[in-house]
Amino acid sequence: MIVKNMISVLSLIVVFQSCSKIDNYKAPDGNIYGKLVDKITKENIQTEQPNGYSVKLFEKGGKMNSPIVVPGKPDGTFENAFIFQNEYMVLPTEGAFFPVDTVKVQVGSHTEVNFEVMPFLAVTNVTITPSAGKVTANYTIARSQVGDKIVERKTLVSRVPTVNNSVNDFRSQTDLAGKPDLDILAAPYSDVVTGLNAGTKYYVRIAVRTNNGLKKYNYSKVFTVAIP
Amino acid sequence: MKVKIYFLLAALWISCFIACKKDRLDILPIDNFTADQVFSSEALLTAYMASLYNALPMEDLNTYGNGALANNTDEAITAFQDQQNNIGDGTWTQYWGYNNIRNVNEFIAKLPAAKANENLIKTLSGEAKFIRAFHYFAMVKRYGGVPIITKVQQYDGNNIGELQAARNTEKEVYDFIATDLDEAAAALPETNAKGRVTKNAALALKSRAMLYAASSAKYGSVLLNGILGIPATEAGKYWKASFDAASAIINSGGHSLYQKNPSKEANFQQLFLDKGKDNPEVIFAKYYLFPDKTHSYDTRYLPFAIRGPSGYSSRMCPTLDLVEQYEYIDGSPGKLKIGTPSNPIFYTNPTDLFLNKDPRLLASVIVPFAAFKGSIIDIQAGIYDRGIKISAGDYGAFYNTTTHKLDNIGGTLPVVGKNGFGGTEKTQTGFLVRKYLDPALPQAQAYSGGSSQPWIEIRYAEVLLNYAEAAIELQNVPEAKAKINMIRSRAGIVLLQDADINIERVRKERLVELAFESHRWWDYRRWRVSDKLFNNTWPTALKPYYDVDKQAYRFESTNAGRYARTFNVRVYYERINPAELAKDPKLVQNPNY
Repeated sequence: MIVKNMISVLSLIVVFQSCSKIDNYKAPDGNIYGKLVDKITKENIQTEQPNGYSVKLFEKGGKMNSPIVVPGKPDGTFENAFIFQNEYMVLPTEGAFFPVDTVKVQVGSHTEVNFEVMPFLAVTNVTITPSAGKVTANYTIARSQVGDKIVERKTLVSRVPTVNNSVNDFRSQTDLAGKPDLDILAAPYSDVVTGLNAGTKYYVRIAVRTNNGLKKYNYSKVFTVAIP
Repeated sequence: MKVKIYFLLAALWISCFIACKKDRLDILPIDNFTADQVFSSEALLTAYMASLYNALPMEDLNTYGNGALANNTDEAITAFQDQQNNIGDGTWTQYWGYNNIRNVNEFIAKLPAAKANENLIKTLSGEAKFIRAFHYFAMVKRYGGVPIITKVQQYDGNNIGELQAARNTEKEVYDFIATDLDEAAAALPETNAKGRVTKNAALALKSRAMLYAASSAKYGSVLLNGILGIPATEAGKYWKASFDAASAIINSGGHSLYQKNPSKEANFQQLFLDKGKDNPEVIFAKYYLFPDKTHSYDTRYLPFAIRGPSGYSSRMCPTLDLVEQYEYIDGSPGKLKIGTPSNPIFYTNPTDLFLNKDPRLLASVIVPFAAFKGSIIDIQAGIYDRGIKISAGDYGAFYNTTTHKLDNIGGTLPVVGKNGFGGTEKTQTGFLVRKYLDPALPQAQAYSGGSSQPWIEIRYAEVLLNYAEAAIELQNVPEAKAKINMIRSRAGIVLLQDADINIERVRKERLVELAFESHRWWDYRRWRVSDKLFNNTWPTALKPYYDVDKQAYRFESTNAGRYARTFNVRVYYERINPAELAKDPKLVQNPNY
């Protein structure tokens, strides 16, 4: 009997003993958000999701940490509301734009930080014209800084608004690798995408790509069309 | 009662003291050998190699569903049941093999002092170098540059900083692999025990690795200061290295293409099932022995109607795209002659659709209504009656040709085949894999872990194809042509002329010859064409229908499975497991992860 009691008392002590401390760290309550502005169009840079671009945060005092990666959104904005309030080095990277410098930011409860980036290419003068069973896209390709060779243009059509290189139902694609860059930049383009259903709403986007290491596309904005 | 308890306690108390002899816990295990024992016996040294070989990261016959690399390319898709909504996202084929590399490093460090004759030590050191190179190659083809560790690391409680290594460049890793394999080739004999590597195996792995390095230089880009990619100027050097390694094997005369069966089709099937040591095409293989070391290839990939007791089947359904990549015997493009939907071509004997196709097709793929293991593998998508298409979801449905209705009681004509279409575990594409399936395996033994046919990791045909690819990249058309024609002659299709030879043709020969052998995923990747080929792309199927009026079969091509597939550009380099980054802050993650 005594043994039994002792065992009960001992196990009770063990149970309470092991739960005496609670996690007293504060949850991360910092928030960083912002946008990447395209230096050619002066609007947000258009990308895709996932993997359009990422924003890397290097936390002060976190020499042993891997950088925090914030995936960018397709409209060129980004946000992370679950980091500690601290000083960070912020670097937008891995997108269809030339490298930019890191910026030192003191992140508080709601801190905005915007970047201006130089895209590899921009799609300009876009007009999208729907007609029976098809859509016509007229546009030009522009750039302000010479980078890799221009290799490809595509007009992408999808029934969902997140249209991009991998999300599309119809497309027209043209290989530009054999054409000199100056000719490519001088020419106006007209792509026709056919096979569209009447009375349906479609989302249209133009994508152009240079031969950059990560094979990133530069996109136009998403245009909504209704096929008559 | 109380007395008894006190007695017991006292006994316990006393036993505590007498049991505590000082070296009581220092006994040697009686079911294991210690390092000292292993390194002082030739027999144990040789036996120990088995565990090092066993750890080699091969993409062998023990794969399943989307784990089978062929199911992530245009070769095949898995059955409906296991189909995933995409192909790998860069985390599916991880291999971070530093635990295995540590074992090899330790072996290499201790081997020179072993009590064994010089020849054995030399051979074993060659085998160990080969194994180490194999591990590094498995990593560099996935991640690009990785840390090169050649010494056994020891943690003394205080030196964590020294042990954390940064990534070497991709070029350094490939050069390291080349050096290890050169040393292995110099140390290894021409022949070795079954399943052990030889000089030619080391050279063959080198020709493969150098081909990958050259492709990375020519088709990839240099990123992260060279941790990924190789400068384009280095490409020529690596093509040459691959070419030289392959020609050393060819000149040695130690291997030849398998030609034991005069029937071209049966020969190509037999090549993968010949377990003998005298299979002249095998350069390096992994052998199995039932029931001690086995795999589950048959149970996973057999057709549904002749599936094994474990119940799986059809986990690799070749696509119509693949079937059409096989040319006709006369060298014409492999497009199947099915006519158009409004004007189909009818075949009384459905297998006549594949008449005069490359014999390798029927040896690698089970086509609709082909014979396999004594059965006709009926794959039928439905029937046509009076011009109307009738379909059903399962083979239990019958059609009554008198009343022209679906009729499970009075009907006599099955609507769909027992092996497809319909159901979640039947073919989704109209085809099933045949390569490596063992026709001699009793159906009752085709359960999980019931198969024991060997996996050929490196065969002579691959060496010839490596040679041809390196040759064509070096603008050496005659050499490329000669080796491609050796492959085609063995296969039984028309030989190529100089004018036919170009990079596309050489690649295509490689793709069809090595289909389902876990090459294509890496080949598309190293040529950097995966993102073009898989850009919202549907796999394709061939659907056979029985036409009641014509009493003949007609075929339709269509999309297969449930999902279109996209290869994400970032997957050209895989994600390093974040847990590894957390352990070693000097590691840099690959882009976009």
